[in-house]
Amino acid sequence: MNESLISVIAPLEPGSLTAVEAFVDETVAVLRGIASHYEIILVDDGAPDETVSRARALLERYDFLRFVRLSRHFSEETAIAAGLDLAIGDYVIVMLPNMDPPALIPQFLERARGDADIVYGIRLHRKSEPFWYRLGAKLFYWYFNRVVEAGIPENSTQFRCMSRQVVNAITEIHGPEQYLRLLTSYIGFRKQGLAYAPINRTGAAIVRPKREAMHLARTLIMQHTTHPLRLVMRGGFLLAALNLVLVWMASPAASRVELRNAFAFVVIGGMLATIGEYVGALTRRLRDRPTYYVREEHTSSVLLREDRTNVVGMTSL
Amino acid sequence: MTDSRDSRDLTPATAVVIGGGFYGARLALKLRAYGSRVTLVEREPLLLGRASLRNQARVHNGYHYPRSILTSLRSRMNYSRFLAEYAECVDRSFPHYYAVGRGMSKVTANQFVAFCGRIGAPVRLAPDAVAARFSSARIESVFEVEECAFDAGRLRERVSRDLVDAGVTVMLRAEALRLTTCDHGRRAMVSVRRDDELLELPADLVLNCTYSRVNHLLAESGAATIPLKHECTEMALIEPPADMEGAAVTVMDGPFFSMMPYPPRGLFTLSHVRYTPHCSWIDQGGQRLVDGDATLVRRTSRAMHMIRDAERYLPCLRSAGQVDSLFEVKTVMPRSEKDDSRPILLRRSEEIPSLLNVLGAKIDSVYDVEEALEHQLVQGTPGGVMAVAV
Repeated sequence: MNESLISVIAPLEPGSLTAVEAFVDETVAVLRGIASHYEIILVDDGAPDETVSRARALLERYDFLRFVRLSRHFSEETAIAAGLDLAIGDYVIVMLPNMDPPALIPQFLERARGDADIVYGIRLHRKSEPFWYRLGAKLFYWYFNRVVEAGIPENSTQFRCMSRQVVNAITEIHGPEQYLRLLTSYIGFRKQGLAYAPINRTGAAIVRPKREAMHLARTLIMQHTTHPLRLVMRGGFLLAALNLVLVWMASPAASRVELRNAFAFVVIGGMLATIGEYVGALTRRLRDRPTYYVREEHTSSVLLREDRTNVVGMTSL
Repeated sequence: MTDSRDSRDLTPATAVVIGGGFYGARLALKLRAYGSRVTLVEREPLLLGRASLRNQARVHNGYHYPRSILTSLRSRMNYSRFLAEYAECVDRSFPHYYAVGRGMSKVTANQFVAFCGRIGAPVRLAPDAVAARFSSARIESVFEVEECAFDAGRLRERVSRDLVDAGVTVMLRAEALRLTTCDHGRRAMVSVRRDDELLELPADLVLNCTYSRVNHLLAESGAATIPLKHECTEMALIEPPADMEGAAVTVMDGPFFSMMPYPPRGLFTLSHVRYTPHCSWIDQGGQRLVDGDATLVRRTSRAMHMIRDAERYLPCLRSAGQVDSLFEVKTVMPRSEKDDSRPILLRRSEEIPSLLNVLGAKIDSVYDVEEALEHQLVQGTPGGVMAVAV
């Protein structure tokens, strides 16, 4: 038993309906064995009502549970950010109820107490994912780690354990899009990966929809680097140079001029799109409004510890 | 007791007050002043030994209820009365800071200042050195206010003395079991168990001042219960951090915390909106009542959670050491949850007309209860809820 307080943050996604109970049962069992003080924060990010009623029933069964309901569906990343803002632990663990096995919590903690400030999970395989998703992931990590040279460990998951110092550093960074994986790469500190095989409680496919995945990849890149901007600037110079050369070389040939124009428009279109993305990001940042809103918050209300059925009411804040 | 509306006629010749907390004791004195023969019945071996003792020692000066201006105004009025009457039972030696939280607070710093102005409560910005101890990311502003703490131990001595001087009969270790009506409802018989003996006390008026057990007495007497919400609460008793130099701190207005002197033990209480209530339940008619005292035992302390959360707002709290915890049942009217008001309840039981049920929320609201009681005795207001919004 250790005198530090352990927080576990679990975002409840729309698809995690059946996973919540099993997840909380297992997590409580694990935490009781290794810590005298802990809390589990379930962040409801627009989950359906049935998930909500299940989660609230858990509050009457287990002590030290918190249930936070965001005002609408934001995103998994925002739900985690909200959890980080609310967590009070000396060590904070982020887990996805559907895919992260609670049995690994002690290993994550042990390393975090040792010589790592951040311990992150790495999935052993992506076998369950369709080909296009794996290819996209590969491409993303190649660009991110080889071209931009940012350190997002390949195949890292949300499962991670952070010290209070790290959590403070992360929660001090305010912005409209808070991507934990990016922020942990930005803030530095000592990191360690821990490979594990994700489980799948619901049995449903756990890949993001194509559009969401593309959006995530695009935002992650844009939030982290201005590399694409430099790329299009270089492209612009190249195009200008090409223009000069072609004009100088082939003044009589009108068709070439047309070809060049068409080509130029394509490239310029691409440039504008890229710049537009950054302008968009800037605009979002300038709006400077809260990333999320909490609709309600509840904590455990266990009436009598021995008698689990004789329970009524709920503590609301 | 028929035609005349003169106050004398409605004043009971004999009265029994059940519950020797601060409210019960004060109301016993009040009835005695009207000339009644009064018996005060208390289950515990000491007066003021439960909720009056095991609660935050705050004497409210209105700051706490920025969303219920009536409660705040009444608090302000009662504050000066309480301080004048119980000067020797009050600790005024410490500064009290109200900090307004960012983000999750239901009130902003500007709103808080405007509100204090409206109720005429003194407020000024805390010295920079004090404000600097708070986390600027989580606290918008820190104010210095005037609010003190009462010493429940001294209050007990004072009230016990007053009761003796006034000639109120005090029965300790005596539990009121039930009431039965007699004389066509004009009188009631209170069955009391003291040690192993069973007593029957006749009374023209019975006051039920048992706080969290109001409904238990009603149910045992076959009367309708009142929908009340109960919470099993924990307040941590801590050694305050040296950096705060004995100051009290209250963070407004949301899932925050409050730290203030607790004179009976020479320590500070730390209470937290999120962690202080361990569980809650509502008394529902027709259902077996929950025994509140049973929920207090075998609780795992949440002091560590309170300190860990509070230190995010006030980092020096990290060094606050927990010494002990106070567990007690807290009872409120369900409506208080929504609108932040703290009404008092004074309700005549329909089944037992000579029984008045009393429920308050703050020690200083006792003056409102007294006024309401006077109203009942003088005007003879018929039964029903008389929840004076306070």
